Amino acid sequence: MKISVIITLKKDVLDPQGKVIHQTLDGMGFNDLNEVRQGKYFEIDTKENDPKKAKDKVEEMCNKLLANLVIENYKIIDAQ
Amino acid sequence: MKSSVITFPGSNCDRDMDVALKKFGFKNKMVWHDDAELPKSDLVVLPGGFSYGDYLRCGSMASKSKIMKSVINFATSGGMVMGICNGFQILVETGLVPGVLLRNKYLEFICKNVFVKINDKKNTYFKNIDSEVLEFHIAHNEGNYFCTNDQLKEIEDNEQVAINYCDNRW
Repeated sequence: MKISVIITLKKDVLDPQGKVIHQTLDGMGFNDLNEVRQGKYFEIDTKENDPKKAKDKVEEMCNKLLANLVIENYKIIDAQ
Repeated sequence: MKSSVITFPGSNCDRDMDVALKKFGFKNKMVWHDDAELPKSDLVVLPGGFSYGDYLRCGSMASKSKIMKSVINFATSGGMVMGICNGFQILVETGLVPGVLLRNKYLEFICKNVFVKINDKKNTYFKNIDSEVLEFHIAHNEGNYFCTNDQLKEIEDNEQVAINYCDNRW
């Protein structure tokens, strides 16, 4: 079963990389952007076939390693 | 005094640390990250570098390595642990030190000398140093310390900020 996770920086956390990407896009002519924030995306393929159990395990992974909850939020995208 | 320096895959200056500690009279042992047991130590040092290539977040992989369980136990039972550069990032990722280190504000690798003022004269690391201000060398890409306002208040209330950046020697 495959589960995806998106990790984003919390609203108040400075994202210098997102800022530079924004500036570069702006320079390329995409000049109607308000803001760009950079995040991370994971695809996890697990042997667990029960969607509820798999999701719980991935949540634990997010809390323990994949995200740092001081600065990041995570969103688990349902099993496919 | 006995010390241990932990080597992770991607650590650097770990051997420099060994030389420096021995110069100051420590009986130092080098410890591999995959070992479970920490030798009897008065001080444990996590050196700098790029453990696990800074994958995911700097220090995050190393903070889960086998030896770190023993280092965490050592620290929580009152042992002295020093983290330099990536070593400090590892300590932050273990949760032993609150907060996190972000990419530097202007995405620069900062490599320069800075001045710091000693706030806490009773601090074990600084109590025998006479001068008020020290000059340190820094070299980092992720050195922008960040924590929540509650964490910051807690750190300040507990007087845990031993040194502060300051403008210059005078």
